[in-house]
Amino acid sequence: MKESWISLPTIYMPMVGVPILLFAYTLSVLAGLHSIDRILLDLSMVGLLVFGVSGFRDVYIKHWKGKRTKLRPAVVLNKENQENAGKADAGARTVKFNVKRFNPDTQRLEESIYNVETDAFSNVLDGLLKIKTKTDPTLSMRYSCRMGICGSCGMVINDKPSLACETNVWENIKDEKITVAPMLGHPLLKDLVTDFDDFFEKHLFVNPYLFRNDLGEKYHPTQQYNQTKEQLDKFLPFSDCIMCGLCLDACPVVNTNQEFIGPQALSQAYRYYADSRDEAGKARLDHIDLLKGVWGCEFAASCSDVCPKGVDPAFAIQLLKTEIIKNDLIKSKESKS
Amino acid sequence: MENKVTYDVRGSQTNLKRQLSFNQEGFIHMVFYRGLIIVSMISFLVFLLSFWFAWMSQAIGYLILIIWILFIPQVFSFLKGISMIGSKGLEFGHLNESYASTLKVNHNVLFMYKLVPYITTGIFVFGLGLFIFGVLL
Repeated sequence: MKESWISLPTIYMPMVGVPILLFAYTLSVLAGLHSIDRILLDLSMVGLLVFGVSGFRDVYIKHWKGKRTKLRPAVVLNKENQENAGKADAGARTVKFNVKRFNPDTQRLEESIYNVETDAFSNVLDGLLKIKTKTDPTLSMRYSCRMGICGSCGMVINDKPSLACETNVWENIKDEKITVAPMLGHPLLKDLVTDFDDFFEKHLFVNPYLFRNDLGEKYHPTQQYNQTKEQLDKFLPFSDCIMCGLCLDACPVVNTNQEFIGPQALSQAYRYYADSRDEAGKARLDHIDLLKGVWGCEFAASCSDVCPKGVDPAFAIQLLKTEIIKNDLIKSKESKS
Repeated sequence: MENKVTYDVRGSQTNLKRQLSFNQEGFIHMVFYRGLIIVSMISFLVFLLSFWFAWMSQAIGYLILIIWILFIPQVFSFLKGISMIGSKGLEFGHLNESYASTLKVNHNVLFMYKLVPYITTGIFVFGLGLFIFGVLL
């Protein structure tokens, strides 16, 4: 059976079916319609069973497949660095950076505290680079462009996945400090560096490129593939993805189940599906019509909350779900006729 | 070449609480959904057992009360999804500002899309009140 049909009870049964049945049951009891209130209660209970079993399969069974590893509690290892304290220039301010570094030897997050001199325009990446160059050269992090384009410096700043180069220090001081940690939604390597192999595998899974049938045109191009404004609008915001991995880190489903291909890959699946130049068509939808695909999304929308480019992956996934259901309905109509 | 050794902390349900600091609504939605699955199955079992043990039928009322409460965030987020799709991501969406502003110029988005989730969830909560005072008590 197709995944979309198995997953339907968890989407439509709880949101539409059971609440309406429960509401109707209450109204029928209040109106004294004893002939139907029992039937409505029975139907509600059957609806709950269908929802419960389908939801159990959706949430728990898929999670049992994944291995569960707990990070050992963080410890403060390095003593507070007082080197820069009290030396701030006028217009500068010394800010405490609590850096939770992953130590691969102990498999622990070790908290190091640094005092960093910052100004009103300093961002978290500036602070970390100051630490690395002046105080602690062993601190590892990934960065490149320093202006929010490359998506390399994704980390968890004050418990929220953010780009270090786009997070102003002074605007984000919380309890007199800035807390920086690695993204736990990705496998950890060292300090603030996470491994992106799994991320790119998932990205590749959705075939993130245009499919064309006119192979001759590919090798001997003769024309342009023009698009209207409306055609461009369909996929434009989703093409802004810089692959920073913040959405995967924020996603509660990815955090509880490694199998789920995640919001980044799915938003890119929609980006290519909605592109008028792409000729893969419905095959793209069939490819992600899986429990680890679109149906794994539980719509917490955390991915969209943290996306630094306004890609809105949660919206893209809901659009994909709608397209899959529409496609299935058309197919079933066609097979009947 | 040195082998890459990674350490993966994904896979545990306790990771859900990572959302608490930046998306409380999402956290409630996820936790209530998990609770709802368990309570739904227990409710059906109690419902079946109530055919043999009459005293259990009273428990169904209280289970429905719990289910009703657990459904509230689910109903809201479902309607939010519908509104989001209907308004092309302009309501309840997080599309980037430059794109959203041009979209607003080119498309008329009905104000109803913003209200529908709140109104419907309000009706659902009102139904909970009816159930408590009209059926349960």
